[in-house]
Amino acid sequence: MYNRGLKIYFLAAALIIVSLTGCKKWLDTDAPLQVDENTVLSNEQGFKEVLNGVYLQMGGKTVYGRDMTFGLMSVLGRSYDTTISPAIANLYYQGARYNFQDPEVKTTFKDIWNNLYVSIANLNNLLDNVEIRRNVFTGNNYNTTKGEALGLRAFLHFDLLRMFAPSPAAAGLNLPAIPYVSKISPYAAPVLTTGAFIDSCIADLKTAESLLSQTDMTTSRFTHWGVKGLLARIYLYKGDLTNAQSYALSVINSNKFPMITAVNSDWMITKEHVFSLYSSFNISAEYYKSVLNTTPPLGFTTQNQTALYVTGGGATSDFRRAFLDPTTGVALGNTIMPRKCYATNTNLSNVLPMIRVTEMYYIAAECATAALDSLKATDLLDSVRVHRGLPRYTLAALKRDSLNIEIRKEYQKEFLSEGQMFYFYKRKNLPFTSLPFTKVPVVADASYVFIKPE
Amino acid sequence: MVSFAAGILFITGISSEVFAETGGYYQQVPKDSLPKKMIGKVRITVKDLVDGAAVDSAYISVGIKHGYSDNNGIIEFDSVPAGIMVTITKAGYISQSKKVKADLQIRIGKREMRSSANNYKNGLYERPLEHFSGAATIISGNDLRKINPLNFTEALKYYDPSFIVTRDNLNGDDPNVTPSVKIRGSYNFPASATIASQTGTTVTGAQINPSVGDYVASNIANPNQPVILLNGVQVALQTALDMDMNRIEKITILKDAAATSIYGVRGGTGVLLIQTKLPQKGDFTVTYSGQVQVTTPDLSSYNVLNASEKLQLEQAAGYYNSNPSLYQSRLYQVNKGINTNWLNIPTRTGVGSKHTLSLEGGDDDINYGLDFSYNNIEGVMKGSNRNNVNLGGYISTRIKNVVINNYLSYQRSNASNSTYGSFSEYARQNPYWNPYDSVTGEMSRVVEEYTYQGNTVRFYNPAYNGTISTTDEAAYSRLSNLTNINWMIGHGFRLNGRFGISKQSDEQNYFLPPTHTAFAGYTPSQFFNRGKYNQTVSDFLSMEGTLNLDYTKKTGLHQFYGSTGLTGLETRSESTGIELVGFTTDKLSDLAFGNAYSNTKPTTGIIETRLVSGYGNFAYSYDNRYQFEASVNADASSQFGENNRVASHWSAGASWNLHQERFFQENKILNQLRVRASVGTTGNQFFQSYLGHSSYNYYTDRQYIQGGSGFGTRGIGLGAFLTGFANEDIKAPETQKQNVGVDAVLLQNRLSVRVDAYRNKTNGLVLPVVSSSSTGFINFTYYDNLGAIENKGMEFDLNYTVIRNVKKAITWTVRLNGIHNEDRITTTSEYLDKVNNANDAMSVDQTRPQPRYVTGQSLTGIWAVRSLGIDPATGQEKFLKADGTETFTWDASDKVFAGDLSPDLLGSFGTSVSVKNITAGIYFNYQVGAKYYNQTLADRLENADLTYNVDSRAAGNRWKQPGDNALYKQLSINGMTTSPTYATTRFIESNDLINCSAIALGYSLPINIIEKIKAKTLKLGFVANNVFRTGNNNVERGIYYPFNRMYSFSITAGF
Repeated sequence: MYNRGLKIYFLAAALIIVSLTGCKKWLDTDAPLQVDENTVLSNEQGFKEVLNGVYLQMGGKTVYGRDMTFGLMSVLGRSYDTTISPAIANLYYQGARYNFQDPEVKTTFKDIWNNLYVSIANLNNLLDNVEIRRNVFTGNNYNTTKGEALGLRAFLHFDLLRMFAPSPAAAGLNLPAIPYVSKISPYAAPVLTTGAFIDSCIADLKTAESLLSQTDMTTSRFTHWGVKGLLARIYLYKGDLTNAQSYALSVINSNKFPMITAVNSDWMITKEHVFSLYSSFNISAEYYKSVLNTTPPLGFTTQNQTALYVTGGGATSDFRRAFLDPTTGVALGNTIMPRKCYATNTNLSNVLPMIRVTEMYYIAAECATAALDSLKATDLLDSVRVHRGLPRYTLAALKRDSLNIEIRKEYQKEFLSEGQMFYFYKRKNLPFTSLPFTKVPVVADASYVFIKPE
Repeated sequence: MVSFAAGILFITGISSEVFAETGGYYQQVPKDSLPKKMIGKVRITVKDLVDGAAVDSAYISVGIKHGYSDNNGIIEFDSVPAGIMVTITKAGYISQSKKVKADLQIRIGKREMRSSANNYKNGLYERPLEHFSGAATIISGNDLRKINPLNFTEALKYYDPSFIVTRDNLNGDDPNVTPSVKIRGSYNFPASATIASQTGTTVTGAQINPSVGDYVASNIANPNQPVILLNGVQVALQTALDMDMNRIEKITILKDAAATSIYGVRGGTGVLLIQTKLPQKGDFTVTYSGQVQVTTPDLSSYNVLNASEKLQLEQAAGYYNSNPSLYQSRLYQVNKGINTNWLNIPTRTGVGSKHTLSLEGGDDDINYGLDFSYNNIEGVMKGSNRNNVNLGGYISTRIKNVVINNYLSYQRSNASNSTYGSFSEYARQNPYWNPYDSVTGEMSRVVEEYTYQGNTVRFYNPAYNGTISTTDEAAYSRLSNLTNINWMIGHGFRLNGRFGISKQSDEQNYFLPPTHTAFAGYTPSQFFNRGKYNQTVSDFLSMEGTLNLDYTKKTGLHQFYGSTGLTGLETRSESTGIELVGFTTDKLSDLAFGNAYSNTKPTTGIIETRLVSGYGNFAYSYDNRYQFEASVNADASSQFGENNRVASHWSAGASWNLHQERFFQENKILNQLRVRASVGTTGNQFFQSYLGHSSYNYYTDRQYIQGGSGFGTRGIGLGAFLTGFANEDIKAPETQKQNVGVDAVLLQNRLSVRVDAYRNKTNGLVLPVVSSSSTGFINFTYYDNLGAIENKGMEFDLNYTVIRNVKKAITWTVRLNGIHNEDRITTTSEYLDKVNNANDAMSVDQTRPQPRYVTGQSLTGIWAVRSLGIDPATGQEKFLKADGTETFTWDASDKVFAGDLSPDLLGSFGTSVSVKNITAGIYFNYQVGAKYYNQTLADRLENADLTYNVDSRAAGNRWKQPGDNALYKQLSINGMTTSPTYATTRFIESNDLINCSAIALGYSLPINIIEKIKAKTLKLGFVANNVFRTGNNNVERGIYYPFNRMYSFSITAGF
C-alpha cells in the first residue's frame, strides 16, 4: 500500500515536472507576423542577415544611398556648382546656402540621425546576441561577426559625430557632442564630449582590429582594412597625426589596394575601395535619377570642370576629369552630370565608396606635411597623380603651403560627389567665404553643425 | 455548465439504483445454496459523502434483516451471512450497496439536483453564501428579463450599481455597437493613451480588425471591462450579448479580492459569470417564447430650425449679402411650403421579433435539451439591424458517480448598419431642401445647385446613399462546444474537468458605390477611382481546459473547504483586410469589380496568446459563526516577459455571522447581521502581446549584393532588421483590492441591506516608454510597467418588502441602490505627458474637451479653459489664464479640471408589485454630480456653419452690440472661421438625471385557461424601456445614431 502510494506520488510529480517544462515552451509564443529573434539568430546565417540589414539601411535614400554621398552632402561639399531653383529642389537649394534651419533640410537631418541610430541599435542588439549565442558560431566567425559589427558601429557613430557635432578644429575636444550608444536600450545613452566620443570610436575599432582577419579582402563589408582606414581618418580628425599617419601607411603599405591607371567604365574605381557599400541594387538607379534627372541636374559647368582638373597643377590627361560626363547637359545649356554616379555599367553602378585607398595617401601626405616632411608628402601625392594620368610635380618637395593647397585640390578631384568634401571643409573649419564653386551665397549664420532632431 | 463544475451535483434516481443492485444480490445468491460463513457482529456506520457527518435514520437492509441508523449513523446486526450486500437508502440521498464486513463504513451522497440557490459559485468552486467573505452579487435571469428582455447589461445595472454601463453619446442605441461596461471603477488607462503608434508601422501586438468574438482584442480596446465567463469559459461581451437572453439562468458579479484572486490576471477588473439554464428533467417539455419589440427614435433632444426660421437666421447673419439671388430662390422654396423634417428621413420605427423554442426532458441517467432562437433587432435608423440565430444541443449522462455533459452550440449574427450614413448628416440638412425629386418623387442626389461667381455649388442629399447599393455589414458564425466531467470521488473529494473550444469566423463588407456622395467631389480624372470596397475577414479560435479538485469536510462545529485547480487557455486571432477602389457602376457591388487595391498590401494581423493558471483556496468555518478563507494563484502567460513568466496573487478574507452567535437574540428589528472583509491581489493582461519578444523582419524588396549579379546570388544578401525589442521583465499590472462589507436583514426579514466599501490600487500599468531618437527605437516602442490608478468607493443596496401577504398572494417590494466611486491616477508617465501635450495641440479638435492624464485627478475629467463669459463690450469670450490673469486669447495650456463626466453617485431605484398572477414594476436609474460638455452649444450654435442647419437656440441670446450681456458670441456665417469656441467652462453643465429605464407588466394565465389549451404554463409580458427621463436635455443626444425607446410584448408557453 505504502509503495503504491509512493508510486502514485512519484508519477504525479513526474507528470507535473514534464507538463511544467512543456508549459514553459508552450507559453513562448512568437509574434506570427514577425520573425522572432531566437529564430533569426539561431545560426550564423541569421547574424549575417542582420548585418546585411544594416548595410541595406545604410543604402537608404537619406543616408549613404543618396544624401550622405552624392546628394545633399555633395551639395554641401561643393561637388556641384549648379544654380538650383528652390522650386525644383528646395533641399539642395537650401543645402547650397547652408540654410540648416530650413524645414526640409532639418527633416533630412532628422532622417539621417534616426536612420543611423536605428542601424546602431540593430548592431547593438546583434552584439548582445553575439555574446549570448556564442555557441552558434563556427571557426573564426564569432570574431568576424563581432569585429564587423563593432567596426560598423564606430563607422556610423563617427559620421554622426562629423555631422552633428562641431569639429575639433572649431570647438576642441571638450564640448558635449552626441550620445555614443554602445548598448541597445530604450533609454538614452549619455552625451559624450567630442574627445570621449572619438575615444569610444577608437576603442571599438581597436577591438575590431584585433578580431578581424587581415586576409579578408571583401570590401563590401567592414573588414580589418576598413577598420585601419577608418582609424586613420578618425585620428586625423582628432588631430593625432602620428597615429593617423601610421594607420594610413599601414593600409598603403599592405599593398592590398593597388591603384589603377585607367577607369575602364569603373567610375567608382571599385578596385581602390577599402570599404564600399552596395546601394540597394533595385532602387539605386532611382536614387541617382532623383538627383541627376531634375532640371537642371546637379552637376558642374565645363568652365569649373576645367578650373578643377586642368588649371594649376592639373592637366587634361587627368582621367578623373571624365568623372563629369561632357556629353550630358551642355547641349541644353545645363551643367554636366557626374558620370560617376550615373554609370552605365550596372555591375558597378551600385557600389558606393565609403573609404578609398587614395584617402590614405592624402592623410599620410597631410600628416607628413604637418611633420614638415615635404619630400614624403609630395611623394605620396605623386603616387596618386601617376595613377591618374598626371605627371609628377615638378618639385620633388613642394612647399608647405602648396602642399596644403594641393592636398585639398586632390581631395576635390578625387572625391567628386562622394560626400567627403563637406567633412574636409568642416575638419579644416574653412570659412564659408572660402568655399569654392559657390553660386548662391551662404546664409549669414551658416554652420558646419547639422541640427539634431528634438 | 458552471453548476456542474462547482456544484455538488449528483444526478441519480433512487428507484433504478435500488432495483439494479438489490436485484443483483438476489441473482448472485441462489435460494438453495446457503452461505457457508456467518459474521458474528456487523457494525455499519453511515456517513455523508461530502462532509463525513453521521447520517441518522437511514434505512439499512442486510439480507432479510433491516433497520435504521441511530444519531451517530450506526446500526449493528448479529449473525450476518458473509458475502451478501448491504443496501442503504434514505430520502434525499442516493442509495448505496456494499459487500458486508464486520466494521463497514458507508458514505452516501445527497441526491441534490441543483446546488442550493444560496450558494456562491465562482466558476471554479462553490461555497455556501454564509461561508463566503467576499463581495459578489448574484442576479437571476428571470429578474434580468423583467427589466430588459434584449440586453442583459442594461438590466444588470439596475440590480447592481457597481456594474457600470456606458453608452456613448455618439453611437446612441446603435444595436451594432457594444456598450462599455466596468465593475466599480477604472483600472487602466484607455487604449488611446497606452498604445504608441509609429507612422508607417503597424502595431503588431494588438489585433487590428479583430473578430467580435476576440476577447483578447476587446479587452485591450476596453481595458476596464471585466472578464466575462460564459459557463466558465471566457467570451467577449458581444458574444454574450448575441446569445439568447432567455437562456440566462443567473449572472454573478465578482468584485473583490476574495472573489477574484483565484482568477489571477483575469480577475483584476472583476469577473462576470454568466450561467445558462440546464434542461429540466422530467416529462418532455416544449417551451416557446415569442416577443415583438418596437423601437422608436428618441429625437426629443433635437431642436433644429424650420425652413423659414433658418432662412431668417441666414439673412440676419448676412449670409446673402453677396448673393441675394440665392435668398430669392430659397425664399421661393420656403413659400412653396418646403419644410423638410430631415430627422425623420433616415429614422424609422423598428419592429423586431424574437422567437425562442426549447425542448427538454430526460431522467437522471440521460438528460437532454435542444434550444433554438431567432432574434431580429431592428434599430431606429433605416436598414440598421442585428439578426442573431442561436442553436444548441445539450446532453448529460451519469455513469455511477461520474456525470458527463456536453453542450454544442452554433451562433450566427448578421449585423447591418444603416446605409443612410451618420445621423449627424441629417441633423444639419437645411429644411428648405427637398430630399425628393419634385417630378419623380424619388430620392434626389443633389438637393440644391446654384452658380455663384462662375462656380457651381452643389449640395448633396445624404439620403440618396440609402437608396443605392451602399453596403455596411458584418456577419459572423460561431461554433462552440463545452464538455464537463464531474466525478464524485467520495470522502469529501470531487474532481471536475471542463474543456471548451470555440471557433468564430467574421466577415465585414463595406461598399460605397461610385455614385455615393462621398465621391461627389471627384474630378473627371479621378473618375475611375470612385467607389470603395473594404472587406475584412477575421477568425478567432479559443480553447480552454480546466481541472478542479474539491474537498469538503465537516467535523463537529468545524467545516473545511479546499479547492485547487489548473486552467489552460489558448487563443488565436487572425484578420485580413483588403480595400479596392475604382468601381464603374453601382450595379457591380462586388469586390471583384474593383479596379485596383487602394493599398499595396492587405492589412493582416495574427495574435496568439496562451495562459496557464493555477489556484488553491482554503476556507474554514467554525460553527457558521467565524469564517476564514485564503487563496493563492499563479498565472503564467505568453504575454509576460521571460524574466517574469509567473504572476502570483493571493487573497485572505474573514467574516463573522453575528446572528449565529449565542448572544444574538431573536428580535423584531435585526434578523441577520454579517460583517466581512477581504484583502488581496489580482491582475490584468489587457495589454499588447509580444512586448516580451525581440523580433525581426526581412527586407522584401532588396538584397545586399552587387548590381548585375547572376542567379547565384539569389537569397545570399537577405537583410533583416529589428522590429521590436523585448522587455523581458514585462509583467501583468497588479490590482490590490480591499473590501469591507455588511449584510443585514432587518424588520422581520422585510429589509435587506448590503453595504460595501472598497479600494482598488492597480500598479504597473503597461505604458510606452518615450525613447529619444538616439536610442534607435524609431519604428517600434518599448513598453514597461509604469502607471498606477486607484479607485475607491462605496456601494449600497436596500431592498424592502412593503407587503408580503402569502394568503392573498400580494408582494410589493421597493429597491434603492447606489455607488459612489472615485478614480484617481496615482502615477503617470512621460508618455502620458506626451499624450497630454499632443492633446493640447491646435491640430487636435479643441472645440471639444480632450482628455488629460494628471496625477491625482480622475480619468474622466473635463479639461477646459476657465471662462468669464462673453465680454459685453467686445462680444469676445473672456478667459482666466492659468496664472489668474484675464485674457481674450484661448490657450490650451490654460485648461483646468472643470468637472468630471463620472457621477458622484450612480444607481437605481424602483418598485414592483405582484398580485396573484399579475406583476408590475417600474425601474429607474439615476446619477448625481456628473458633468458634461454641451457639445451642441459648441458645434451647432457658436461654431456652426450657417451653410447647414443649426440648433434652434442659434438665433437668441447672441451678442449684438456693446453692452449686451449675452450668453453666446455674435452670430456669424461660420463661427468656426470668425471666432471659434474652444473647450470652455462656459459650456460645462450638470448631468444629474433620472431615467425611467423600464416599465414592466406580466401576467400568468390562470391554470384553468392553460389546461384548456393543454399547456403547462402561459405568460404574457410587456416591457417599455427608456420611456422618459428628467434632467438636462439641452444637448443633442445620439449624434451618429439616435437613442431609442423600446416596447416589447412577449408570450411564453410551455407544453
